[in-house]
Amino acid sequence: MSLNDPRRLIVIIDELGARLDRWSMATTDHLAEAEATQRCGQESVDRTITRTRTLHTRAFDDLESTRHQREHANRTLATAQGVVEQAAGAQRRAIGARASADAAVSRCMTRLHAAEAELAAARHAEREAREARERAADAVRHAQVQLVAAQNALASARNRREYVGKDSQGNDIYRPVDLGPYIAAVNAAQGQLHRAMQHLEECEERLARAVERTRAAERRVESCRTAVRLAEQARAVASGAASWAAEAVSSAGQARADASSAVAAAAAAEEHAAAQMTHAESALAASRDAAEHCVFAHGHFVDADRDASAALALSHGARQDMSGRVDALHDFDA
Amino acid sequence: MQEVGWLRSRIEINEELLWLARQRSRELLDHRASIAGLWDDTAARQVRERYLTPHEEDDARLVERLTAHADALTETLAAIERAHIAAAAADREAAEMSARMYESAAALQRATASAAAAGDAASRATSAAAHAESLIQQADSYAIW
Repeated sequence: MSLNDPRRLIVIIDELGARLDRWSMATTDHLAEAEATQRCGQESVDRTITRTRTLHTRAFDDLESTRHQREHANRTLATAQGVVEQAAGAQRRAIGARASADAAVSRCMTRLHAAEAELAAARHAEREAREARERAADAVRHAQVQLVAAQNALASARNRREYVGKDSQGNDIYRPVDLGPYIAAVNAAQGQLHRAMQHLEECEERLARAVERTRAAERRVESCRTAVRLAEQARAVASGAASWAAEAVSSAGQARADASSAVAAAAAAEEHAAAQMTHAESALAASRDAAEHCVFAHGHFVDADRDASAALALSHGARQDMSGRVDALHDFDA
Repeated sequence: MQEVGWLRSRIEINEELLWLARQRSRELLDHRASIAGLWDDTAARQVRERYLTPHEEDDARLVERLTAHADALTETLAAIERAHIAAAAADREAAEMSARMYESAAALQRATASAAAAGDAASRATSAAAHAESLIQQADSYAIW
């Protein structure tokens, strides 16, 4: 039922106006906050897009870096494998050289012992030859003395006459000494001397051969000693080679192990980089989604702002009309 | 995530103000309904037809669009959060990747140094072995008669 009491109508209209004012205030506040939130969202979207683009670029660069690292590690592993083979070859050669050196030392020692035995035998033979020569020389000297004595006796006999008796006149008869025995003694002494000298010559020749044998044996011993020294030096050098080779094998094994670790770590890094790329792409896609939703939100806000302007204008018009009506009711009541 | 927190706070305030605006619209409609039979003169009809009914229609669209706006902002926030979560995961993977790259680089450095040392030792060993072989030949030349 419609009221005719101006005072009650004034209260009703004023209350309606107050409701319109509260609506206007709430709508205005909400629009201001919606605009601020829209701006805040847009800024967040912009920053997120910037960050995710940077993230995506970094993920791409990281993926490239890890691929290069893996390739580098693979090349290093191949190099290390080559070094392992090189070290193994060096070790085989060093071990072979050491075995050869051991054999050479043994061989040279055997030859040295043989040469030393030959030298001892040669020296013994030389000593015997030297003693024989001394005896032969003594024999020559003795024969020479015998010859001189025989010759002297012969010469004396030639100048001597021996008494043989008296002749018919009673004169002593002398005749030359029979030289036959003296000559025979000289001849015998000469023969003895000749034989002694021949024997001495033979002894000299034997001694010369013995001396030459000794010299040769000495040279052989000296040569064998040099051989032993060289073989022992070879063994020491080969032992050093074996030590170097063992170190090479150890270092090469370490290099291969480290290179394998590097390859594994690079592969793991590449997997993480791939995962990083996946997440970065998701982040970039999400930021683009955010930008799209923000654009939709902006469109809704623009439409809402237009509707709000119209509604606020209508609210304002209603307030003015109601104010006029309230004024008229006040006048009527008065 | 601080930025997301800030945007979330703004969105929550916006939604509270949207709720309040809806409340005011509902209150206005309820009040109009309550006075519909009490103030029904010519002036009331004029105000209703010229202002309040079009206002009601505009307000209904306004509320609908502001609701859509708030929903779109919520979707925006969710997408930003997804982006930040994915970005954080990418950062974690990047940190792991950096650690593995560091390990790989260090191992490569060691491998290169060891390979160089091994190559040098192998060369020395080969050279020494060749010298030993030469000495053996010399020794044999002295020992052969």
